[in-house]
Amino acid sequence: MSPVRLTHATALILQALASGSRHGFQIMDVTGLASGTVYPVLRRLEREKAVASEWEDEDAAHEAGRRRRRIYGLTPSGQLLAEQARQRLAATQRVLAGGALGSMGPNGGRGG
Amino acid sequence: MTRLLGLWVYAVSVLVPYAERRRWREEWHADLDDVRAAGAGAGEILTLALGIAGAAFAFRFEGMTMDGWTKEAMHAVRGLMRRPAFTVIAVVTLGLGIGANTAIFSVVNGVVLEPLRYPESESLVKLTSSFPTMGFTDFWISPPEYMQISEGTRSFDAIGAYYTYETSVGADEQPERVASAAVSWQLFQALRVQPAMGRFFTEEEDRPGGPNVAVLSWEFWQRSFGGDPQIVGRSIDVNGTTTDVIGVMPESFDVDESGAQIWLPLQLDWTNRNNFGSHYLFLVGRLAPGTSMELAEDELNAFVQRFPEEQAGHISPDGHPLHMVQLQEEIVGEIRPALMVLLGAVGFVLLIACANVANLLLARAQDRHKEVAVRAAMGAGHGRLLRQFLTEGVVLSVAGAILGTLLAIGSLDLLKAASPGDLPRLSEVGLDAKVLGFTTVIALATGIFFGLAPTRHVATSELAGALRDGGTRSTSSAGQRRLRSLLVVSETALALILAVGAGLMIRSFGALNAVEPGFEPDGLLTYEIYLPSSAYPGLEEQLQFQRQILEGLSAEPGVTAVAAMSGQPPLRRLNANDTEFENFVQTEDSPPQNVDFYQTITDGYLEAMGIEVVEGRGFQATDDADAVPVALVNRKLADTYWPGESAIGKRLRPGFGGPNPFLEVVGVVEDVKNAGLEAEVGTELYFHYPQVGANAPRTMHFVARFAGDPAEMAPAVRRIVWGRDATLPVSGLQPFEDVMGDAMARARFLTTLLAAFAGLALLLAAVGTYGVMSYAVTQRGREVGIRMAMGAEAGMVQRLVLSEGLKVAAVGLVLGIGGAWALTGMLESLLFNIDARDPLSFLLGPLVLSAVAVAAIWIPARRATRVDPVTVLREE
Repeated sequence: MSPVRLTHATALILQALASGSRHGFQIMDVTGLASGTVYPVLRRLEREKAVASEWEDEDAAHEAGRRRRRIYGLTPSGQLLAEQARQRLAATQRVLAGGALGSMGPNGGRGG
Repeated sequence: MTRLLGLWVYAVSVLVPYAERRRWREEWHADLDDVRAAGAGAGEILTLALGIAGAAFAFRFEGMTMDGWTKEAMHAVRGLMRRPAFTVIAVVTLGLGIGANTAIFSVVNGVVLEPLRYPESESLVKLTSSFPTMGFTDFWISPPEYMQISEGTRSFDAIGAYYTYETSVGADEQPERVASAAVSWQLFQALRVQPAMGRFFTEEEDRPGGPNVAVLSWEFWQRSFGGDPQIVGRSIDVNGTTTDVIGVMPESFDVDESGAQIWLPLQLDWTNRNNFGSHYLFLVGRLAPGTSMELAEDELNAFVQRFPEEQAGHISPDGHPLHMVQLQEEIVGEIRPALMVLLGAVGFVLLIACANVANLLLARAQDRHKEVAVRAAMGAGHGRLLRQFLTEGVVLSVAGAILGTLLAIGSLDLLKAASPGDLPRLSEVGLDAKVLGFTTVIALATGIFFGLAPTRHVATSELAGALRDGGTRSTSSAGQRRLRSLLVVSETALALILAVGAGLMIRSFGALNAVEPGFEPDGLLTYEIYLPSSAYPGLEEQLQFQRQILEGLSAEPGVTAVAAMSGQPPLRRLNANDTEFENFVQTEDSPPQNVDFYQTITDGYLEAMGIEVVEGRGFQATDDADAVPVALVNRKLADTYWPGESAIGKRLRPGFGGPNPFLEVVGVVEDVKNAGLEAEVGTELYFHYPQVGANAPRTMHFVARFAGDPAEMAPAVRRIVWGRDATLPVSGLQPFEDVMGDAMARARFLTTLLAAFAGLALLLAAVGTYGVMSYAVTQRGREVGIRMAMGAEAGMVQRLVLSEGLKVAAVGLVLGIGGAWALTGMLESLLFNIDARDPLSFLLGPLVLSAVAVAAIWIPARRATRVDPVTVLREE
């Protein structure tokens, strides 16, 4: 498996897939990323075999009165990647919350 | 919308590598559907659509960095600089197309699309009434009707009433005539606009006998009071009455395009509910929160149904219904079709410009066959070449957009200056973000289009042939020739549609110009004076003033006739007066006893204006207050009320059964246009000034017929008026020709613009046709050379080239005639006395276009015969 570049957008999209988002519009909706970012990332992840996609069942879409959607899902290697992404995002969050600095203080731990 | 988005996805997905194209196309369609199903606004949908284009680009040019793009752009710029003629023509063509579009779109946006500048303006409505049986639409509402609507409906937060007129305003120095409005205090509550300074009238001030207070417009305050910061609290003179300024409205504030500079309290008497017949108010209301237009309309209809019917002229469903329309629709509804036609016309110009530039790029791609072939052979992939062309197209279109924006800024000022006075909301027109966005989208779309057009020719199979030829020549394939011919065909067709449209407008304008106004405007000077009741309380004083002015004017050298009148043709406000016709038997079919226009005149009026007497006589000096009251009627009135018999000796009187005496008709005069040049003449009843008693209209229009240029008389007019009374403003002082010009301003504006666009289209189409033909001649130099070497005569070769070009042009002409036939119906409402399928326009348009096409084909065809066979063949 070729190494995957884990940009912030990629991390967000992986996270969105891991937490149940299944198609393009939903991913944009959840992540707030623009379509011009989401599609190329999905395409790259798919080529790198972290993501697999297939058409949704034609009959189900027809019943709902809409076009069939392209459904994305994480492959096993994609799940590993998503876990990396989750850690990366969590780290970002800690920095933003100011917690990272605190843990480096002389006393260690929180609220020191 | 759905189809447009579909088209967009289809177009941008062309960039996606073929193997994946269908899949993404379908996925994007589904996502667009989803976002719309989720109830997203236009902005979100647009973002998604643009993002999809971005994604398609990213797929195609994967791995390109910003740096790479910059290099590519610099490369394209260098390449373009090496071909200055090509680059200049392409950029100028695009600039003209984009500039014209941006300017017109700015006007359409500012006038039609942008919401009015009031808070939550979509809930503002205008209320009017009508008298269907008399043909009066968009009619005023009387005070008691206004009061009952206010009290009897619940759909409105507030309903304000107003009417507009002119006042003389001046503090110390020379007063000036300004557009003003008397408004009820509720109006500003409905509009929800706060004054920039001071305050607005209170309910207490808006009562009969209330204080004399005024609110000024920002512009008036700046212009006439030098922006005096102490203006609030200052006293000014309004129509001879001392009035306190209590506020200044914000900049460019206006009520319903009335152009009022000063607002005075209406001071209606809410206890008087008797004057049902005096309709002079327009109402503007704000819908209550949560009330829809439909709901309010239903309530209003129900209100009309249950309105008490004991009085004549009362609100009723059939006789005198109410109408409600959104304020924005009321203001821009009438001008919208004209602006949309202009927008369509510039759209065509842009399409032609695009076709031209695409043609240029095609020809250029052909010329660079060898370069492309070599690069392809050296390993530049299809994508690489595509990128090169795309960048070049985008660089060109960005340059075109910059030029276009500059042109738009310039022409927008020109447009504003040239636009007719009745174009609403002109002050709100400007280049804004939306307009610039529109330009950018056009620029990018054209860039992509141009970029992709030549790439059809760099399919690798053709490149091998180019290399084989050693690059000394490149014959274009049948497919390429067909594409170029197609572009010429569409250009010709579009230009023809515009030419026919412009022809129709010119013919219509000509018809408007040829309208007989019923009088002789040339050589006449006109101006207007308002006599305030403070200085001129009665008819006596007014007539004395009038006489002195007329005597002064007559004494001027070169003046041959003078007169005064109450209303100035050819465009007057309808005054629709109830008039009793003696012994008139009112039946179902007979016209209502109501005269469209009352006109009070001096005895020299008919002579000074050049109006013909059809029967009987005009007024004479002896028709004074002591003589038998007499009247003149126009031919239309005589024919309407006394068809087939003489009007002379018939009697009528203003109002019904009132104190007015019956007037005896002593003359019938020729119809004079009074409701506008393009409108039917209304019925008109003439009174003689000395006989109108207390009802004398205080606004007097004076005319003087002058042997020289009427404009030269202006100083004399001011001297005469101010010699008599220096406090009177002289307004509208101008040659009568200018008044006539104003009456045709909108038609002239439209005609000029459409003609300009058609001219531009013709020029661009000629340049395009010429370009394609010259290119074809160059391309076929070898063939021509061989033919001539084989003994073909110059004439024959010329005919060959000509016939080929003409065939293409002919197809364009036929398609253009068809297109024009289908589209000119949209002009219908803008045309005056000319059929939308006017044969002359449909004949002349194609003729002009044929002449242009023949010229554009002829010149290159002649060049073909000058080909030297030896040179051409040696190049082999």
